Amino acid sequence: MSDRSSFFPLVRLTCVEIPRQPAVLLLTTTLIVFIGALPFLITHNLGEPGKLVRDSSLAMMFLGSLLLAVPSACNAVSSEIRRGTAGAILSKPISRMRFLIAKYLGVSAIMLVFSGMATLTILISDRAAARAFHPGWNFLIPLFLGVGLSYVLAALINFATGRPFASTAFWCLAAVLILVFLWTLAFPGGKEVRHEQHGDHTHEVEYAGQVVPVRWEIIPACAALTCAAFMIQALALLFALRLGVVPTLSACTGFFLLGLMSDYLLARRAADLIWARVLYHVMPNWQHFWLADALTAGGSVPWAYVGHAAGYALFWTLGILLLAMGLFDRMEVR
Amino acid sequence: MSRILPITLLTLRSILREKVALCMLALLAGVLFLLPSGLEGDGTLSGDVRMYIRYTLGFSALLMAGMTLWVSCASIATDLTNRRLHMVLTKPVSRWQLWWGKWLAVTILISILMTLSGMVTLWRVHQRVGEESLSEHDAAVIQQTLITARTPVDVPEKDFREEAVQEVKSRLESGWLPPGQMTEEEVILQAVLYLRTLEFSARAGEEASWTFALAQPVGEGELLQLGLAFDGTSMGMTSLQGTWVLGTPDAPDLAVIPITGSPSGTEVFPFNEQGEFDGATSITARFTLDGEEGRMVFFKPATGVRLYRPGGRFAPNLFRAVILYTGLLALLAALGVATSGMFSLPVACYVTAVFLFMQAFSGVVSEVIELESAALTREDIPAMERVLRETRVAAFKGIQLALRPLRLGQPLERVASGERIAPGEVAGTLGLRFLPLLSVTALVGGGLFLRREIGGAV
Amino acid sequence: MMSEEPIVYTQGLQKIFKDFWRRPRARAVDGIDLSLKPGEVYGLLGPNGSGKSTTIKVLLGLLHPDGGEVRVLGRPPRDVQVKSRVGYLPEESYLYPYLDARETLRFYAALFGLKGELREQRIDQLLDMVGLAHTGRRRVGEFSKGMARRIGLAQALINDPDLVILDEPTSGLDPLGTRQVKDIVSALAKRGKTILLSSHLLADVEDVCDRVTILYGGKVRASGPIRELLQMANNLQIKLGDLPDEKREELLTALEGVLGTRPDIEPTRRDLETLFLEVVAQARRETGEGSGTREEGELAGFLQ
Repeated sequence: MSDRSSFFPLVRLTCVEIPRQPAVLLLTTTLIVFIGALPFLITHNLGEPGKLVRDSSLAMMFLGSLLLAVPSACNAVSSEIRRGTAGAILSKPISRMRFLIAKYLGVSAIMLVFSGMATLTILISDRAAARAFHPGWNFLIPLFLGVGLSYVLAALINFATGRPFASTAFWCLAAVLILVFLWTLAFPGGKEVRHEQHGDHTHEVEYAGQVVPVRWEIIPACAALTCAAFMIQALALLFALRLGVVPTLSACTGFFLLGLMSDYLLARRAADLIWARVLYHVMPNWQHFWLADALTAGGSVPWAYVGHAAGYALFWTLGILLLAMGLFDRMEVR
Repeated sequence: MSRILPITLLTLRSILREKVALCMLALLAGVLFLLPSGLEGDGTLSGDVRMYIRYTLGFSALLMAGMTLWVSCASIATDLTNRRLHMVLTKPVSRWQLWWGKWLAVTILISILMTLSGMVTLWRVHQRVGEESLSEHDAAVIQQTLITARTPVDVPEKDFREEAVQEVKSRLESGWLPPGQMTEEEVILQAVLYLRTLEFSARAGEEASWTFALAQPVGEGELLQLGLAFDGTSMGMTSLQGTWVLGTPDAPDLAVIPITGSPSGTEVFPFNEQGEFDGATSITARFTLDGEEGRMVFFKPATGVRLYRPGGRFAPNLFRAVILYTGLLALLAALGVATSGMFSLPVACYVTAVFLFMQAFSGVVSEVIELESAALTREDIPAMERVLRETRVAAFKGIQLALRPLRLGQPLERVASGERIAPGEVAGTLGLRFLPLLSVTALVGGGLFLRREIGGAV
Repeated sequence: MMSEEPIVYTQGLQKIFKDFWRRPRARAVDGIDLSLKPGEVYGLLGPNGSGKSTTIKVLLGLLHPDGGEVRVLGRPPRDVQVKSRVGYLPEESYLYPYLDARETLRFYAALFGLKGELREQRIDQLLDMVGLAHTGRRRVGEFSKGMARRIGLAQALINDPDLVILDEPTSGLDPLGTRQVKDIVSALAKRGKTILLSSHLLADVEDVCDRVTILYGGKVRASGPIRELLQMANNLQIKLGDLPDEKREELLTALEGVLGTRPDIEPTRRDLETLFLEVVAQARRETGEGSGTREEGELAGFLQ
């Protein structure tokens, strides 16, 4: 009974602790600012409005998940073991399995918030990138003001109450981003742009009173990436049990890169070489979660596919977590 | 110095004993030995070696930058977190000495690893070439085309503005409307970019030509090479087939080079093996793309079609590039140690990584400045938007200025393409650019570290 | 009258910890005056959070004072020259875990510019003094807390310092180690070294210190020679040797005549530390074993 009752406080503690690391706030802010800056950083659209912005921001989100997963997992597990706080917790009536699951859920909750923030920013940024050479300032200004506002708000709260700045700013950023997104929905401004063919040339024609629509199909693409992020999270947790930050980051980056290139590196050799076949099946294949191309080609991503991807991620995550549990169960904790 | 060395040795020892160096070596070994086995060249000796050089050097450069970032950022920050500095700083060691000691350790480590990766690359290249039983002639060709340093000759830069103005005018006359709210200047700028791209492209059935003016006439028996960086995939091509005809203005058809294969890549083709170009001061290159109408291939503007002349041996060139790149990493290490003295490890990593990231984006920065400056010539911009845009341009110019001293011209990439790096360039870059910048970074970083309190509570 | 410059001098020393907004959060040290004479053992006493460690960190130049005057060996504490004459043992031995004991001492010796034979000689003597000569290639990270304290003490003495600052020197040590540290402190004082010792273990301070200052809330609450502070003028004690029963009875009757009441009389008790040391010493003699430490707090040769 006490085992169960101590589970949620542990999840909550992890959720509270991770955003307190300034690096988490900095990473989140960079991601948002960078995705927001893409519409005016990427000036060409190669005839497909928003494609480059969408591709780059989804890639940033993917990479951001990896960069967030490693320090979070290390903070939640390896630092706790090194500091001896894990030992203190495990001396209480809580099993190792629950400890690890609680840590995973806590870290995943933060990852979910992170992915949510990235998704909202991509939705806003995509609308701002609808026209080549003319970033939609009516979307970008509220976004940047929102980022600034959440920092000011966090500073004020820190001044008045002494709450930690980093975590307050992280949560303020999450709340303000939702408000900014709702604002851009309510006050879209701008004009719709259509491409019309006149003889040899394509013209951009504006239609007053109409707006750049939200590309809701981005949400399933981001959801698939979030599933991948949960998988990376489990991997990071597994490595963090035994390794420090550098080796964990190296190992996760290795899995990340190999998983991304497994179609190129392994699939074509799988028919001839047994090791390539084994490795191809053992490596998680991140290509399943990369839907940016489908978004460009078909314009939409069916939720059923996302469901399949989620199932794949769940299968892997459970496997990795089981492995982690087996490892942790035998581990000596100071 | 007697106080700096113990700090340096201790830092190196910590890197070695805490298995960080082992981790680095394992990753580097992966890049140098495992990665090439996963890559598939075009099967030819030249293709394999080029691919090996390009990928191993490219990945080791990336890996080394990551390692430098991590080790330098950890150098002071972890000692502060673990409170080991409490003991060290109560000894007669100034914080400057500590700062330089840490920097020196990181620099020594990266120098060793960079030299190691350079040596392994060199060894593997020679090993791969040695595997083939080549005739004396083929061996000489390989020696001059592959394991060499070359001086590039580029097509002279052309000013497309006049042509662009004419192009826009003729388009407007034919009823074309510029998109949205583009100013005249923006439209012209687009036209310039368009014409520049066209200059370095070839359509199926049409001949594209370039002329190289040589400062020195072609020497007797001098092996020349045609270097190409091209991409036809954006036009949907899956393979490429065409013919290059090389010559001089007087004799335009001296050599024919048929090309076939991948629709994109970087290739080098040797010519003048029989000495038919000896004494030439100008060389023409014409290309005809085969296939049905509409097919198109783009060469990298300015450097996509170039002529290479022999410029020295590969090994010294590689090591000059390694020295240049190590210089950049040493500067990055200085930045890492500086941030490490001010912030915690993750924040130090973040700040240094942003710097690296901005470095990678310096090309985009220039482009944005160019486009924005053009857009600002429009008179009907609302006041608020003008302020915003002007601020943006100013900010980007600031970033550009800050990054300028670090623009290295990617030495490892240049070596991979066989380009010669002059010793003077190495000396000049290190002496005139890195040394002052290193001093400034050390002064600011060390100065801020000097003011920092150690062991404070609350 | 001879005027001797104090080894450590503070006048109205203040240290305030501030938050990000520069608002004072804690007044860790609030107007402390200290003056340490050469060759004395000075104790800084106080409960946790009373400002002892903060004061020491200011004296070492790690923290910057917010007010008052500080001089160590006649110079500002951040002066690098000062540090070459100071030895410091922090409250916890923050050591490089990947070095062994000898490498650790070699590193710290190198920071003092000690080289060659002299350095190795000092290291041998110090390792012998703190009883770690037998640890060989074992890494410091694997040491017990007591062993880490010992190596910490050794590094604090490597430069034969004039001023030794010991922050909680006996924390984590067994009674044998504690006794040994106390003996070392006394021996160093006899050699003319000045020692500033911070502790909340009162018995340790009482045993070795000449003068003490008691801090609370960052302020000096009591200060002076330890004998004077502990003296209770109206409470007397008579110490007697071994008395036969009839003599004892005679004495009690005589005292009853003088005082009017019959006083209590009890045999003298040893303290627990003495008993423990005696038992261990006896056990050692019987088994012929040693814990690796010297039985006496004998100083390293170069410190004598």
